[in-house]
Amino acid sequence: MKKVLAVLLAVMMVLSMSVMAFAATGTWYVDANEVAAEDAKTTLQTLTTKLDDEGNPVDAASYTITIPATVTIPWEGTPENLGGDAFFWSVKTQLEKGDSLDVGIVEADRTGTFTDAASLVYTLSGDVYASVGDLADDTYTVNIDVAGWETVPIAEYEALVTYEANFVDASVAP
Amino acid sequence: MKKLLAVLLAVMMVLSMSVMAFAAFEGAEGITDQNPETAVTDGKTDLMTLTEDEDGNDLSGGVYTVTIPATVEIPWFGTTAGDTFEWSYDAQLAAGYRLTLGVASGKTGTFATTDKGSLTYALSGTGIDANYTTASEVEADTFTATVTTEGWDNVPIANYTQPVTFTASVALAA
Repeated sequence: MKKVLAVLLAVMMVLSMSVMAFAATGTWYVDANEVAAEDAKTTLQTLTTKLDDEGNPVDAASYTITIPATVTIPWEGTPENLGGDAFFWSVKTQLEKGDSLDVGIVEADRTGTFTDAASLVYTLSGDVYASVGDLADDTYTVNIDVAGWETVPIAEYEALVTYEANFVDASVAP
Repeated sequence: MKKLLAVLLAVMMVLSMSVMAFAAFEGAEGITDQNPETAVTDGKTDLMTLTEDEDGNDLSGGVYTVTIPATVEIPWFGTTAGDTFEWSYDAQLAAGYRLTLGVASGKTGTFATTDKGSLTYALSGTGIDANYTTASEVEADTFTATVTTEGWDNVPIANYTQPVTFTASVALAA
């Protein structure tokens, strides 16, 4: 019986050798290069450039700084118990990963005098400068303190405050 | 007995290797009719195609190729007309067989995530929404896949990547 089974199994094995010849042959190409089936894959990749209206690639990184055009200060200022004088500014960034933006009021304008009123002095404090990251959407508060109200005639005096933005590239940062 | 069985099995194995050679064709005999008026009409030569190529590769099961792109680049914020790519197949299978194509992995995915949200994508199109099975043994076509990306504002700008793996199989038509 054992011998019969052995013979039978051997016959079955021999006959099964011809079955492989009937399998379809598949070939994978990635672009024009033939690859093994297990290596055949497509990679989806986002670019760091966007398309402009004409379809041309341009840098996709951007930032927006929003500042008030005018900040009005009541004569002798707003009392502290009512919050004092202040204004808001904001920054929104979408930069390349790792980059940052140093932005705020230039140092020279953080304190000064009003035009034609050299003894009327303002001082800015609070969030006068900030370093924001690659994906920011923040609002900052700047406090205003004015001294010397009694030294000048009552009038509408002006002072200009300038902002600056310095881009920090992560690839060249120290 | 053992020797007899061994010889018998050896003969059977040898005989199974020669299955391909038994493709018979008519007209192998030479023209033996000496009558010059009938000899030409009795002889014939058959042209017969083999299922092996010139390199001896067995093609009896059929062949197919699938071509996919190596990389699909997506501009930041995407393309206004939509981001697409093409992939194709060419099948020449044995009688009764069909090729089925699809996406094994990467049909949807996430490029990146921050605390603002994720940048995600989804593929769609023939052979992607659902597996595609050829209608006949001999068929070739090119498909267009669409990449829909959402959440561009949620992540910093970078070259994010995700792989997409396609799949192909051959089986008897249902």
